[in-house]
Amino acid sequence: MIPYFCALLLLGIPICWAEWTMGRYGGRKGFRSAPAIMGVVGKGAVARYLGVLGLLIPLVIYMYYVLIESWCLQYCFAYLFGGLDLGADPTKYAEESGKFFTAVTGADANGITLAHGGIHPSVIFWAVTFALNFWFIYRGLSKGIEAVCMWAMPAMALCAVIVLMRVLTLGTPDPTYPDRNVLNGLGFMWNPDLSKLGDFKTWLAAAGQIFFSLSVGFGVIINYASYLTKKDDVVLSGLTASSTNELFEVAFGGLITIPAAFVFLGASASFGSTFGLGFNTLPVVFEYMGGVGRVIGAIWFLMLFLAAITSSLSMLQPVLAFLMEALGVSRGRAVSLLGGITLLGSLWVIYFSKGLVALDTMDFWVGTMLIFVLATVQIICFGWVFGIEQGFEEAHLGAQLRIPSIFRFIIKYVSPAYLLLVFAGFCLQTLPGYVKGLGENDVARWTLVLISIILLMLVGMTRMGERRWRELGLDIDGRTPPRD
Amino acid sequence: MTIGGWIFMILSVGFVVALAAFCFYRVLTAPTHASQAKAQSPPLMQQTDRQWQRKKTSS
Repeated sequence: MIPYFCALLLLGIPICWAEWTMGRYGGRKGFRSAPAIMGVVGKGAVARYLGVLGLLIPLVIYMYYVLIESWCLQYCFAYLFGGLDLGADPTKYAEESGKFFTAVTGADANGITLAHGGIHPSVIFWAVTFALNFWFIYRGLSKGIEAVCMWAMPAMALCAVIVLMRVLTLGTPDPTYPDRNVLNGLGFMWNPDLSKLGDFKTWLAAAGQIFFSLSVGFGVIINYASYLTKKDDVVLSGLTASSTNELFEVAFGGLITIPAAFVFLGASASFGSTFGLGFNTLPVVFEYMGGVGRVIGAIWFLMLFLAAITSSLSMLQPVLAFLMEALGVSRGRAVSLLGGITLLGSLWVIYFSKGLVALDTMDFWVGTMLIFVLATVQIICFGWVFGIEQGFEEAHLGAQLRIPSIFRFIIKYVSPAYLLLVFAGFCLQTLPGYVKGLGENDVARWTLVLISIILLMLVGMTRMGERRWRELGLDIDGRTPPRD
Repeated sequence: MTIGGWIFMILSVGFVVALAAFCFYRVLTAPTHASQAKAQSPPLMQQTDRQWQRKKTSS
């Protein structure tokens, strides 16, 4: 948690402010997409083409995120219609929950069919979720989503408080494992472990977690902020979005999921994939809540599904805006093209489900590594190319809140140095192992090839967009200030 | 759970709760303005949005 809070204060919040500010500035110049905005802020083609990462990241993450979203829907249905039964023996709850998770995700075998024939149920839930996402993005039902979020998010917070109270009162649920109690679970999560501070992988993972949960270095905020005007407050908005995310992640996630995973699964399992952890652990917690646990479980996974829909739509929007902006196509055509690309990628993830290798490969190389790279590019562009003084002046337009002056120093020197140092350390210490692992796994290797093809395609589209923007006489290299 | 763990947990949770409360307070007490609704569309999006609107109207 020490690297986590360092990453929050020295990377997450500063880069969040930088991204909101850059997005709005690019929007005032008439652009919506990450490559175009990065070209304006970074004053040239290098930043523009590095900005392509701001399309690749949400696009690839969407390909596996929509699958995780469909798991939430599947769990919700399982609670509603009795499909999730962990049996009568509390000592077997964790094992049964793990089996159910494997069945839901198809992690035991590749393919989209069951061993005895027929389509795997996860494919049906995935197809429904995928279609629902594109229906929303095609219809542009932003007000409907906003209305749902207005009650869904407070409802989820209420559920989280109830689940939190149950987790904190679990005691020692399995007497055969007296060490697996709530206090030790909290200790596992919160006891400072200074021996881990020398491991660059820990620092990279902490930064990756912060970037993922705050959607920083993602290409999403830069697109959304481009719709704001200079009267809108990007400082308070950015800080509020970050603090709300942290409230859920630290106060709820840090006190519920990890301690519960420790209590039911033990220390070794608690280090597992963060995606699987909640799905494996929370059903056991709900089972310990008796009859009401099934109701809470259904509501919990429904709320999680709704929250995930809002996230996945936010991943589609930057690419959609880019396709319209770069290719000059209508919204309908852009949605069709985006649908085709994401369908192929998402099918890849769902087909190669054994051990969740395709999903984990995309999550590591794009959801951690490339987010880290884009965040570094963005903070260097903001602090050094755009200029910290101009950046702060731009950020404070319409702001009710002043960014403390110490952040001038942090954004210009500390954040870039932090990112470059951790990245260099990780590349030297851990990356060779990952590369070696790629050589031993065909699915992982071909998944990287797929990501590379998508990247090349986006670079080509950016080249087309660049020509189009020049023909339209737009200031794509940020030579002049906005006219508004 | 060690003393260090307790201190770290209380400080961390306290920090994020206080930060969120501060932000909510500032957002809820801030004067509102209607600029979001009147946000100007840039030329490229105006062009494509017009095509989209035409298509929707005709269907």
